Amino acid sequence: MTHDAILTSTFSKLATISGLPKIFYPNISYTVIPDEYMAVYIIPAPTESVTIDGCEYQYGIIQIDAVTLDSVGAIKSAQLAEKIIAAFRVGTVIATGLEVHKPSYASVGMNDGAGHYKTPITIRYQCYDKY
Amino acid sequence: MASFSAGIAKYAKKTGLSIDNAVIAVCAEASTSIIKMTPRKSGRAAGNWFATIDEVSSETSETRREGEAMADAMAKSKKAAGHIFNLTNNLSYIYRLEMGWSKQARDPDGMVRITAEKITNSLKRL
Repeated sequence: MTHDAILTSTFSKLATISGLPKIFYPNISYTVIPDEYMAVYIIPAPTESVTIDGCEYQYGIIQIDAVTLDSVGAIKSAQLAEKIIAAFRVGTVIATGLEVHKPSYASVGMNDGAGHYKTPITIRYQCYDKY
Repeated sequence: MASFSAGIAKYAKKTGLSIDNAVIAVCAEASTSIIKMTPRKSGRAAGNWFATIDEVSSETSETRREGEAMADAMAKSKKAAGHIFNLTNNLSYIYRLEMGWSKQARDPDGMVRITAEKITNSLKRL
């Protein structure tokens, strides 16, 4: 699976989740930063070599930040994180050949230094490409 | 953890290494990956990875370079069999490098999480 297909599939999946605030996608500039938003990053690991069954094995991390205003507590950010975790459970097929293969989890939240507070969610994906 | 141990055993069998040497190889590989993936604008972050055995480091350094961190991790890896191997970074901003920080428009580097994926997936797929 190509990197752009991983991106496209992930963005499509995110678009199906109800109740999320605006989603910021990688490498797009925004002039107005809302009080609440989600930020998406795809961090691929180095691709494994072709295996004996003729598949190229890819895996990596989708990080989604659930962002709220700073100084309003951590609950709202955690609630948004829970929506993401629920949508990306183990075995979730994001697209054909692309799935969540380990439990998704939220990490410790932090002030981002720019007036917001974020809870990062880690989603671990893998995909196989049949040659 | 059981599957990780099983992965080490499979790795030892496949490579012909003893279990102890397989543990050393995995610790060395994980350390190398994390240190190499750490962004090196000044080299300070990469140089502040401290390997320790059976204890967690509380050290930081202003002068230690990446090469020293790597050499130390390799040396400590050789003592890892039968013990708990730790690789620690106590810089206040290391978590922000891992997770990203919008104040500096810094995307997450994910060096620890990607390395964990790389090691566990490699062992699982043997």
